Amino acid sequence: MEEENNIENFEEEFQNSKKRLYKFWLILLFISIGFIAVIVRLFIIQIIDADKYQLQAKRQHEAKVPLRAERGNIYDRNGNLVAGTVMGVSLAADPTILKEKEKLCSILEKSVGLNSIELLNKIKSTDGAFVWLARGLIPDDLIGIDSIKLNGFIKYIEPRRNYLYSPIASQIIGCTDVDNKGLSGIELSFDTLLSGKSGYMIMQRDATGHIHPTANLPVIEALHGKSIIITIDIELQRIIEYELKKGMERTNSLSGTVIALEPSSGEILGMASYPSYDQNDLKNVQAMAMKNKAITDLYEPGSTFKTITASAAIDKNIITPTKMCNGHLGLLDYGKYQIKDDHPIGIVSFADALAYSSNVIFSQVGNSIPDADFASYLSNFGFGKRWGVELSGEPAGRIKKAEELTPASKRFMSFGYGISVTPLQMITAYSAIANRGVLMKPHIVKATIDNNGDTTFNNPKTIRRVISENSADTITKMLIGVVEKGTGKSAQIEGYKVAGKTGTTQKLVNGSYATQSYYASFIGFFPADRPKIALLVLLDSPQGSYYGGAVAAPIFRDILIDWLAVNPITASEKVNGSKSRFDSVFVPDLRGLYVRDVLKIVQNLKLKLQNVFDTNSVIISQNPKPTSKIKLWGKIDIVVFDKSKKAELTDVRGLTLRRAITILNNSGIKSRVIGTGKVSEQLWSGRKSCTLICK
Amino acid sequence: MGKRIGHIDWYILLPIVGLMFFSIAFVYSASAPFAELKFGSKETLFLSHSIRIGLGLLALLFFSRIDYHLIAKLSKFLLIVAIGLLVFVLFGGEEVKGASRWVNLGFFRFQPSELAKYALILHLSVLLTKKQDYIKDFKQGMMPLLIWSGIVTFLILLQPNHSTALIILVISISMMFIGNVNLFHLGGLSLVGFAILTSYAIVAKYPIQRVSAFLGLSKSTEVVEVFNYQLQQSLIALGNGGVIGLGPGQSRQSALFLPESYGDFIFSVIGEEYGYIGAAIIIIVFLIILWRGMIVAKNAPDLLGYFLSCGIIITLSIYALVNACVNCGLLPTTGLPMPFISYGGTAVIFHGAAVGVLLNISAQAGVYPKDEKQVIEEPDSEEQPTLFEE
Repeated sequence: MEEENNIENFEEEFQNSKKRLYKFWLILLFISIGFIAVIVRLFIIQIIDADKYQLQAKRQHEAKVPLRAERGNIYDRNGNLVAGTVMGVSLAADPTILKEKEKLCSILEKSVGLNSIELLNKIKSTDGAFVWLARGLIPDDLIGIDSIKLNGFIKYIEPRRNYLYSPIASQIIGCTDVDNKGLSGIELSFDTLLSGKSGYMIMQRDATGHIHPTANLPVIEALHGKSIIITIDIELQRIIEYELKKGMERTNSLSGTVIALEPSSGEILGMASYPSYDQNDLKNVQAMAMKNKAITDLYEPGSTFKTITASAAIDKNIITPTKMCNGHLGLLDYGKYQIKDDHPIGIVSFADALAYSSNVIFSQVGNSIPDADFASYLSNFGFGKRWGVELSGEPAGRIKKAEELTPASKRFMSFGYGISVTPLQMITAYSAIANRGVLMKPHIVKATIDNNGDTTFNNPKTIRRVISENSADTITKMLIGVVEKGTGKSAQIEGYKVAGKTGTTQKLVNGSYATQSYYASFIGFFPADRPKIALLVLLDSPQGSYYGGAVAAPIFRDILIDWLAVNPITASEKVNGSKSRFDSVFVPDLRGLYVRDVLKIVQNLKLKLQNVFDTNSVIISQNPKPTSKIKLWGKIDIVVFDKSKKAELTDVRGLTLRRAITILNNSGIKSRVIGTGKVSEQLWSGRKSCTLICK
Repeated sequence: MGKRIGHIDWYILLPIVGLMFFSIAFVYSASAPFAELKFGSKETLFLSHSIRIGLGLLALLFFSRIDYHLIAKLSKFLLIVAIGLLVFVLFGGEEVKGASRWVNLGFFRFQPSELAKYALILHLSVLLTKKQDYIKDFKQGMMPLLIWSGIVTFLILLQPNHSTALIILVISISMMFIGNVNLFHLGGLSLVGFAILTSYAIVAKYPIQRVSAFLGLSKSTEVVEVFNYQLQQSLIALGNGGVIGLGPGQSRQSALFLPESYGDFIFSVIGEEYGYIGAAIIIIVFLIILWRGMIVAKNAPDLLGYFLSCGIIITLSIYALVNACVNCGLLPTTGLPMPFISYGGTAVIFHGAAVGVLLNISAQAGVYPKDEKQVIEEPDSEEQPTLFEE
């Protein structure tokens, strides 16, 4: 036993003596040094150089993804959408990848109608890896596009502005560029409001280029643009543009301008100048056609200004309509200058002097108004100042200050020479008379609607009383006389009283008055006794007959006649004087909707709900029936499903399938559906189940 | 011989088990983006890794209960099986990334090089123990060692798996060095071995491109960019982590920026999520294992245990070291995983088995005698321990 142990011991000792531990330690020392090197190296990377790497990490991980704000819509005063956004298709190419350039261009010429030679030039002249071929195309035009599968041909879906009535009101609404940025009109003036504010999201980008939203990175939500309701009545605007164009063709004028204003509010109902352009086709537009002459152009108002002179004189009690005045048979010689009438008259009443538009008589009346009074009336009517209407390019115009006035300048100014005004200033001044002496600020934006549907109204703004009510009535009567018996006879409309004044102005060309170049104009309001609309028609250089009464007044008349035709309710204006078409509304179809959802709809339509007990129930029938008419703030009776009562034979015919099923499910009636769309037939099988046949 | 005279070394077991458990969390975080992209589920790689960690743990416990002398008796058989599999994968193996390295047993797919590595260490230990008397003799002593190592290295080189071949060569040389072979023989043969490897690397182009890319010597080619990209992303991950890291599961680099973020580059993801502190702790844990392994080797009851524990410790720590160096840019990019931490398929099972063997040696070494009083009474373990059993 001991021996054995000794042998074992010996062997063990021998083996231990063979353990050259220092060799193992040497290797471990190397490895340990390696590990320590790693720890040191980590210290450098993770602590000393950490900033550098963190920056690199941030750069590659985070991608800023823009969240596009939707551009707001533009509606007319009756809620018609005039400018909206649709998704358009833009085409681009990467010339570095695109091989079959000719093939692509010829396909695009065939399918989209683009010019293949132009396209080819575009592609070939680009050094970079990207070139737009066409932007903002309408998807309907692009049926053939989807089948084009060439490397280097790029299709983008982009929002694209759509003008539903274009070219109607194009100068007012304006247009946007391919990036949906406002270029002119309302689109430009309210670009910030309409476009909203794009947001962005910081996303995390992985190495495959995919991006993921992450909770702890900031998201700046896009603030969608607000929508705008403009004061324009798109139907009236259509009439104005149609009649203006007709008149332009008849008279061969250089250009023409029309403005319609609601005297009681200063709201611009319509505004057009010719030539115009089509917003949906911006390629061939000349700069002039985009100009809104009603606001941007200055002219000498000529005889239409006599109304202003008369207002000042009558309001100051300097003269009365019946006062007899001397027309000096059409010529008054002041030595240095003469004042002439084209149609000489002798001694007539002041009213007739306006009706027959005597420069001679008005020069005398104007001169009899004190300088300070004359100047202040002009200024009070709004001349010589910008109105600040919400469109760009409005000039102030020029009138003489009181201290600048001389008898000569007063005499000429009294019949509209020696001052410069904009058409807008003229129509606003006439509107003050139509509004019984109270001047309203002209404006074109009626309201803005924010993203929550909350509407902010741009309430009519009273500027001041310019003349007394009596003076206004007197002037109105005189203006009626102009149309009834004077120079404005062509503005007569059967059955209505029209107030207005003609104007024929020699154009100032290179500092002297041209003999062959005139402004022909007519400004008036209608109906004369309770004016709904003030209207200005101005033609630049009509050929042939150039008198305002002969060329401008018929356009004025035609516009109003057309307007009456499409607004028959307005025709009753004369009879009972109070109703308008805005006094009644169509009853909406509320069946199948929850009461809580309906409340707001009804409120917006200016109606009321009756029998509202439980807002969480579904409406199953209503009275009056959908699409019938009801007075403003009229009441709609509703019947909601009542769980405590037995299921009734609820009629869902005429409803959309979704609404019908909402009602039936709430009523506990089982339904079987055949077809899609609206419910056309409802076949009962017992009291608790039915079959709906839809079309 | 082969009697358990003490507890296994808890200071080895606990850090290893700790690494294994944490590796589940590491792999989940690092593999989720990739797994989701590729398999549609974040958990795919995590689940298979968890299963393998479980198997690794079982292997560890199993081998810690088996006397390593028993396994040593099978060393030749195991090595021949491993060599057979290495030959098999050259012809019938499953290709992964252009290299045939896998044996697919249907339910189980593994790399024979993992088996071959430890089989070789085991057999080298056996041979070194046997031939210790005449180890200085080249023909009788060193030749067999060289042949076995050469075959294994060569077969792995053919796969091709250069980095593993190189590592196995380094481990073999280290073991021969510890095993007292003639230093002149060893030195000369090492030179020859590395010369062969270098010329092979030049012929194969691929490894040399890696190295020159790392050293910034070669022009910008696609291959260079791929390697530099991996390294760059790895450094960004570490730097992004800073001192304390972004927090568990917060790695952004693992979102597909860092290729193999759950495998060879998991250390960087740990550095990103747990910062310098986390990365340093991993290194320190390996240092602890290294130090405890050294004590086990020192106290190993016989030469076999000594050589075997040396081989296992060197293997584990070299793998960890090379991987950490690659991750922080101290060595060119290689495909070596970090033991117990990387998603490495079957590697964890073999590493687990190896640690099991090491623990068995530690138990026999009596680093922790079963009865602590005996340690006080008989502090010198060279006193005949068998006497107490009588």
